Amino acid sequence: MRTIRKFEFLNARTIDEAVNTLAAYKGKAWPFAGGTDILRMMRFQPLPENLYPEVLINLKTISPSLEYIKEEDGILSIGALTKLVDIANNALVGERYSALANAANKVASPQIRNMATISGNICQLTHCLYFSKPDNRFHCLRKGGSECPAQLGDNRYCSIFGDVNGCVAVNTSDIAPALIALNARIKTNKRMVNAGEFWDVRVPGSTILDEDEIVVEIQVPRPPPDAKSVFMKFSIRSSIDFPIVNGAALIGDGVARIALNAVAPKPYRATKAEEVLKGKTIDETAAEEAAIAAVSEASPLSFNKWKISVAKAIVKRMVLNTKSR
Amino acid sequence: MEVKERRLKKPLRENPYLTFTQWQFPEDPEYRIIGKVVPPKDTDRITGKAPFSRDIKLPGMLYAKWLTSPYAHARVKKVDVSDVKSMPGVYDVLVCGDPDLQVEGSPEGLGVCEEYPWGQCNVKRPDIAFILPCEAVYEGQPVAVAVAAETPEKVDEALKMVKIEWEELPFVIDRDEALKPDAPIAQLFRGQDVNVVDPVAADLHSYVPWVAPGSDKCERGDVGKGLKEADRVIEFEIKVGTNCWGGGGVEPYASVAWIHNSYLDIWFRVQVPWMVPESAAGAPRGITLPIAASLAGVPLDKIHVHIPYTGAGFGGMNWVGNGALPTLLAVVLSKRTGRPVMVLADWSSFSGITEEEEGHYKFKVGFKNDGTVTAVEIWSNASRGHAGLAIPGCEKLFGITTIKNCRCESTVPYINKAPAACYKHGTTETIVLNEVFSQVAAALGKDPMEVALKNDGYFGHPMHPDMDEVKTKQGFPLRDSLKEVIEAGKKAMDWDNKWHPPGAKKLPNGKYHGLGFAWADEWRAGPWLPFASDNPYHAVLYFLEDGTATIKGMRTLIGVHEKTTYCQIVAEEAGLRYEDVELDHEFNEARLMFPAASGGLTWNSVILKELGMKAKRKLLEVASVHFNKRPEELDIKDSIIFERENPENKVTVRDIVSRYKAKFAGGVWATGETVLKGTEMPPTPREVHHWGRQAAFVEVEVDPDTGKVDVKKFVIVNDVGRVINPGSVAGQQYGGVYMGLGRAHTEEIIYDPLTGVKLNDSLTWYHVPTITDIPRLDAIAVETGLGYSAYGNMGVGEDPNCVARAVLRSAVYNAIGKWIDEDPITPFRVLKALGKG
Repeated sequence: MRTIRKFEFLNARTIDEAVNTLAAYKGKAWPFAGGTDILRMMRFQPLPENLYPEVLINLKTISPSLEYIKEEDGILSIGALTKLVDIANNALVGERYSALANAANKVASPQIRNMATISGNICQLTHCLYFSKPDNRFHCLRKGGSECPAQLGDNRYCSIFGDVNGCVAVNTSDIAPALIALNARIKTNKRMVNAGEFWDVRVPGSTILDEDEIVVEIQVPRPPPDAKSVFMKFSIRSSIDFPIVNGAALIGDGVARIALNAVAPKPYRATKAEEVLKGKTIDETAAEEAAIAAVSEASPLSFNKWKISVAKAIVKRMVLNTKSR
Repeated sequence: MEVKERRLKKPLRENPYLTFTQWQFPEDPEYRIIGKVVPPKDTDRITGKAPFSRDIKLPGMLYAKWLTSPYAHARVKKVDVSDVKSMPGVYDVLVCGDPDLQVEGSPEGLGVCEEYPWGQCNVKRPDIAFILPCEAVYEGQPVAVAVAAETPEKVDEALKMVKIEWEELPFVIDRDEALKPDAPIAQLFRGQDVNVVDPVAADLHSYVPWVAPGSDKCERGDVGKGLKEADRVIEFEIKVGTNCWGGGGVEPYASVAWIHNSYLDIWFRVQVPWMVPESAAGAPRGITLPIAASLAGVPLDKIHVHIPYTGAGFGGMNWVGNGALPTLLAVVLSKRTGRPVMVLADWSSFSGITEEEEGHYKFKVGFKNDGTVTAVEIWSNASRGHAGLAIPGCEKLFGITTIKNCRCESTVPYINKAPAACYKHGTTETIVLNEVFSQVAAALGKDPMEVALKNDGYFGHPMHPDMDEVKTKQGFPLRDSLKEVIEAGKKAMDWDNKWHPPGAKKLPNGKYHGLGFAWADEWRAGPWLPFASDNPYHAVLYFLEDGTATIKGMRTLIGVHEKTTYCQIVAEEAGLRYEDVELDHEFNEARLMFPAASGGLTWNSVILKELGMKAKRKLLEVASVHFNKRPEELDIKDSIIFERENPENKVTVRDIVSRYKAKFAGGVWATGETVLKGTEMPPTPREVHHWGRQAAFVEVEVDPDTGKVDVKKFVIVNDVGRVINPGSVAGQQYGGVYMGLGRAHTEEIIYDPLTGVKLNDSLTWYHVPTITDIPRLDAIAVETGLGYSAYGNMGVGEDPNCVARAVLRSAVYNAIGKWIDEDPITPFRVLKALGKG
């Protein structure tokens, strides 16, 4: 095991102090929540020298704490520092927002869920094999390079819905599709953003957040009482893995929201599948039609046609699963 | 004859993923301790107390690491380490080409070879590894520069400051491509203008006697004639073993060397720690210590070897120098700095200096309508990870079948991947064997077990009556191992009720149901015979004044209950209480038998039985003075010596040892030269017979939409001859099956086709199964007494993994009705076979 890269570790006492410090370091400071993703990156060091943070700002010391789950006026509010294990085990979330609880329960392993936070999960860097190779072996577009090595390389886990700015790496958050399906909003220190507009493809980041911006809360509207939400994940191993394809769906009378992830550089809203289901009774035929529609715009790369079949299966199974509501 | 079977029956606690079970079988009146469940003596490994090489701390110790090649093939044009040498805390910088790195015969860099005389390198051997050369022949190879500094952090900092100018060279990582006429030369230092490994230099004959000298094929009978005799002939191709990691355990290598006062002390992770001189019997060779002695400038017998616990033991750790290279670098750096040096092999998140054997195979098989195979022809380009299995098919198709006409030929290329080595011996051989019979059974629509039994034999001879005659002559029971393991496994799997034609059973959950069967022999440890009169093995038993006894003899503890089983045998034979015997495995003056892993207990039960018998004789001789009786009139049980005719006339072993202390000075020595029942040579090309069989049965569900293969149930049946320790057998069955299943369907190194760089050399994306991915296992041990060792016992460590790899292929075929022509059988390949990938 190589030794971890050196960094300074500062405890933020307030949100203002955290974001002011981030601003002062002009991109050389990164927020630190659970640390499970960032410490791994600091050990394996996939980035070029100019992109590493010199300082990590610990958000867990912020007061009042950003670790909470509460429901008020039909809105579920989850503090940005809430651990995934607490979301997975929360009875209220499990009962009314089951896609989110299941997604949290499917992230990595119990040890990681005990540390990792909801904001960290949605802000994780891409885990593309080329991007993640240590020592900046592949200086790809997400590191300020001039080409995407995965486009012509082994892209078996890459995007089946084309590139964004030339990058075909996928977003591997398990929480992301659940938030999109549940029509969540993400509150930062600067603004409120619909979940569907939160993710981006940047160097090296995966969100729209500015250098001095942090997530402070996730807000999820309570789904209609007749609707059911589900989350499904396909991975090589049944535990610990990042998804090969995952997805979440919220389906009820008058509502059909379906999102996939790990299929594109940003979480993918399967709007064509949603349209297919409008006004239909959920049955085998409707589910199959939705599944076909969900991947109708897929354009596989040389190694990943198989992921289309997996994505289709996920959508069909999610839709059928909501039938039992 | 009643089949005596020992199996796991009673769950100790329920767990959705594992069944921890206790062995239930009738008390064997023949033995007090052997075959019994006893409290384990090696619990340190599971309590976390066991020290590993990496835990060693010595005063003033330095740490060292090396650079790794970022390219699949490149040469170092220029190295600038001027900034590194001046860094505070840096003590030494080694650059490729330094005279201190040269071993006689190696072209550049520090090489470790098995060839004689010690230290000379045969660079035509494809499984030879080098460190710190100037030409890197695979991405991740230790290359160019090593740094020693006062902390690991300073080493990492220093390595970042090294400035290297590389010359990138053309590379080839595909074995088929490497054999094409216009392929780039993969490894320039070999001095060849083609990539083909020279069979003369590889010297396969010395490992497999029925391969002609200088040849790369083995032949028996007349394949053309056999094909003409056949009712049907089928041809097919497979690629197996592709891109599996050969790290051999998750413990990253760490070695410490310390030259002081004209002695060399070494702590290292290794499977065979000691050097065995060349002998007439072709004894196995431990490769590290002679070269270490040469590099350190100390005589061999001034090396103190320390072997803390190891994470695992695999042959691949030895013969390509996987375990040796960090150690030798530590020796060089200790000599240069005058300090103890720990070399940390940290070039990746898991250690990957070697890879698993892999190959492309083409088969032509002729057979009768009753399932009798009349001819097999195999061509392959498989890697020669272990020279003993250099030509796939030469081992098992030749050795354990009745097939009269076989020809196995291989053309092996050098490529730009790490050298291959075996990490569970016989895996690819077992796949090749089963592919023949599974495809024949499928073509005929027959039960695969019927075809296996039809062709089970020994070097072209049928088991009945030919081998029955040999068994009778040598005093072995007339048991049929394959038949017995099949009967046990079929019953446990409920095979007859579950079996169906390929692709014929779709379950309500939409998945396809499949059943698979695979078989093989028990793999004996090497073609060499460790019972020769000039063998160099020893074990000693020292009696202590408190009446306890310590077995002393060096061997690596690789996690197969060595301490427990060795003490069981000695206690049994010497008449001591089990709790009164301990094992000291770091005793430099006596070396227990090779190998430490494959058949380790099988071989060592010979020397340990001898040791126990001699210890008993010694105790009785000394006690005879005390009793004023002849030794034959006395006996020992539970550490009490008594008069046979008058058991109440007794004395404890403790009393005898403390009273006659001088008589026990120097201990009791065993040499392993005793030839016991079962070690006589049968009339075959092998040194020991090979009648034990094993079988695996698996039930799977295959998702036709995602391609995922779920293993629902696994039955492993091993004929171990006789169980010495039930926990040790079960542990190896569990471990082997789980390792095999991972490599069969989840684990795969992904290479970038454009650069030859490994993309997933970390445990995040290299998918070793977790506890949630493995099925319940029904582990059954059959005891036929057909083993070649002291108790009719034989090995189990290698075998479960081998059949687990093979059996999944036929199960997936049975599920989806299509053969997958390449493994590992990942979802990607299943969907491709179904036209969806």
